Amino acid sequence: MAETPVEATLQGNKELIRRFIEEGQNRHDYDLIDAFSTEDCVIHHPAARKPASEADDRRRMAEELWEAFSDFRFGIEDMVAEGDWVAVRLTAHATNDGPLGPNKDVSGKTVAQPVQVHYRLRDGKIAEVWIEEDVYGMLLQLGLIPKSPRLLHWMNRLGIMRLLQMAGKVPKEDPSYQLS
Amino acid sequence: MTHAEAATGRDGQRALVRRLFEEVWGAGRLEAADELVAPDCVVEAPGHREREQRELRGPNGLRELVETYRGGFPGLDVSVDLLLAEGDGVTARLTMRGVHRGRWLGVPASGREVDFTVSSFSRVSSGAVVRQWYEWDQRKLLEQLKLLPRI
Repeated sequence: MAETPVEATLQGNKELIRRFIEEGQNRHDYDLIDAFSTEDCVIHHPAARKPASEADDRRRMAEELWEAFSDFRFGIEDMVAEGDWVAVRLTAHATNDGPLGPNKDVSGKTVAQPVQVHYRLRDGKIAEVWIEEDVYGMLLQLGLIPKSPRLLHWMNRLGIMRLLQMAGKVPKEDPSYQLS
Repeated sequence: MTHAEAATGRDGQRALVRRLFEEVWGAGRLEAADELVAPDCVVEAPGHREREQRELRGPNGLRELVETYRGGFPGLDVSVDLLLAEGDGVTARLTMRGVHRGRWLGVPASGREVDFTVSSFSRVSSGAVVRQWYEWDQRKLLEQLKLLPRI
């Protein structure tokens, strides 16, 4: 069966995203990542306090990730494309061998973290990115956080959380958070 | 397969997955899971019990997952923000909003409000979901319930 123009576009969009991930993100090639993104590309990520919409913010986001996980790479598990969108199911494979988060943790542990991303394309570039992942699940894998919400509840009730924060074992509330 | 059939198929898959989110998740019609989810479907989601178990199986597995959240956040509001279909795959972006009025993962009701976004991948065959993956940031819920500091 001959490919319709619509199907050809969808295949092209998926190929673009595959190259973005495998040649840009997996080789930590920020120039290529930048070349694949529109100037006003917006990235929504649960670990970011607000969407990254400036070129400098997007670069910092990638560089902090690669600093905390020097071998960071994605394995592509599945892709679905329709219209201007490409959705990808990924597994991030990464070893935490550099400073991570406000506590600058270096756990030395390797994680396999499931991630889902929706990319919206415009004129052959990535204009909008919605990343979804369980950051709590990743911190569990790294051994950086107590194991259950129930345990967290009791640690808060008994003041253990505050003691851990004072001892630098759990990050303190970011005071600037209230302002944003 | 003609293009028209392909379109019908795609719209059918999309409608099936939309029903799963709106009826089972959004309206709490848990019995609809029997119709929408294949018996051997594996559902993967961020930890739903006190431990970080990710895999559930079949209509009962989906019900257990939904009950955990609708139990902790009765009347959970679910909106489907985006639904894509291609071949036997359907992906979605959802927003969930609720108030912590029930016990959730061992944490007693706090009355605090949560809202969080969800992504989901589904594979559909013979009119039922045969595989489903969810991702959301459990940490955001824990922050909104004041169980973790916002950092």
